[in-house]
Amino acid sequence: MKDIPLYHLFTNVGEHDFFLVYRGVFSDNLTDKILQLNEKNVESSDILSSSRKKISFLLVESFQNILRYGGVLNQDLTSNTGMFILKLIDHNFYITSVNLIDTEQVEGLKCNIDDINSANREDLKKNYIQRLGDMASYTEKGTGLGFMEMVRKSQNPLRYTFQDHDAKQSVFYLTICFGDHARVDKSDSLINDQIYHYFVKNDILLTFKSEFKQDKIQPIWKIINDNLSVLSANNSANKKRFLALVALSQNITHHAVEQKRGILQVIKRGERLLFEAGNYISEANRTRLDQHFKLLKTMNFEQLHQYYLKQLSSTVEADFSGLALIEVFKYATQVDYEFMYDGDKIFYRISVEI
Amino acid sequence: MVDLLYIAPTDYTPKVVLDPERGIFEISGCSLPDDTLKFYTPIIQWAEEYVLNPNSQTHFVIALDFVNSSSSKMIIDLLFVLQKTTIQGAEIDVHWKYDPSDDVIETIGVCIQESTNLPFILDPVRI
Repeated sequence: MKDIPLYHLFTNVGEHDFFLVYRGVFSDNLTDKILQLNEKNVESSDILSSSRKKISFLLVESFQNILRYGGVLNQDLTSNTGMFILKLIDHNFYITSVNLIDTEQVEGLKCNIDDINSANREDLKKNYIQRLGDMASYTEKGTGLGFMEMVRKSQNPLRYTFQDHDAKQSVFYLTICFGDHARVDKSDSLINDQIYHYFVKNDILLTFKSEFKQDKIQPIWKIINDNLSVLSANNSANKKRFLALVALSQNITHHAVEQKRGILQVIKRGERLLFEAGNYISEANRTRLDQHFKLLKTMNFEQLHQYYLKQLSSTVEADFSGLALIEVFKYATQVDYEFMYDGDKIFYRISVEI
Repeated sequence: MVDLLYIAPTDYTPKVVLDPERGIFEISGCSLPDDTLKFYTPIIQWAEEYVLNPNSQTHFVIALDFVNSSSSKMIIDLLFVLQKTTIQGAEIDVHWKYDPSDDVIETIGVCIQESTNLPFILDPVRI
């Protein structure tokens, strides 16, 4: 997965119902929003409410795992080393926490997880109750209780892998598989150990692929908005970023073909943020967009402003997407786009730097 | 007199209070609706009825934290309709309220101001 552009992320990760990779700030605030995101994205599926409660519980446990072992709970995104991956595929959930740990913890963790995975339900329950009673004898981290609860609630073994990071640290991937047909015996496809390094190297904070109905993506807006205020104290820039994010999302909602599926990515670029969005579009839209982009790219800021005013006042039937694109150009320091043909499909990618 | 129109706010759509009896005309909060036409059409329809028998004076207040371009467009369309109150000899003005530190919302207000012929006051106030 070397230098994969947005298109390959959109297609090569498979037809996931829903896919989120997050490398931003981890906080209790975030937990609520992830739970909301999850709730909105599974509402239309056939997953029972009892299962949804378990999934919510597992999401929280996975977060706790990042907090417990990663030790990175500060607000400084530049030193953030935790990552969280959530996938919903055919009613099966895969929740992966990724963080850096001291390499000397690896063997202990392996033994702990292997023991838990190999226990039957009754033994697991007994061990769990015993450890609860022994809580006073354990340190803050690593009681193993969290792992036990993950296995008990998901009713599947935990999947894990460790990867060397540097002389003293390792990358710890832990996946909870929930669902009747969760593929627990598949070794690599669930825990893609190249994702971590790819996301860190390119400083990607978030990637989200889903059906872009507004109620499903609104939690993502909230998550990104929370990160904006941590990333920068420049309220003006943050407001422009948020409005551009909304414009890109709503464009997918209104114009994407194939069940409104799209992908959104937020990348840190020094003091700026890069927002990328991608989706399949029709040929008619491609032509219209291409013409519009070419026109807007010829304009300086004052010309954009005058053109924007003209469109706002026009009595011709409103072209909201055209207005939204001008708005994005006004806010951005740089806008790029491309179309990629895949058979008879056209993938449209836009990137906006603010 | 046309009836009150009240629309409760949500996370991404504004509060709307159009109450000729109490003389309150206000749109406030966040305007990032999924379907902007669907959201603003009832408001514009209300305005088309209002201008047939308007109050002698209408102070229209817009106090939004977030506004996307499609909302700006619909607000301008709304103001075009409200302009017709002057045909009846009535007066109308628009107050665009914004936080003085918020240059983005101020700029959006300026764009709307430049697009309308109504008396339009940019009103910086701590919201």
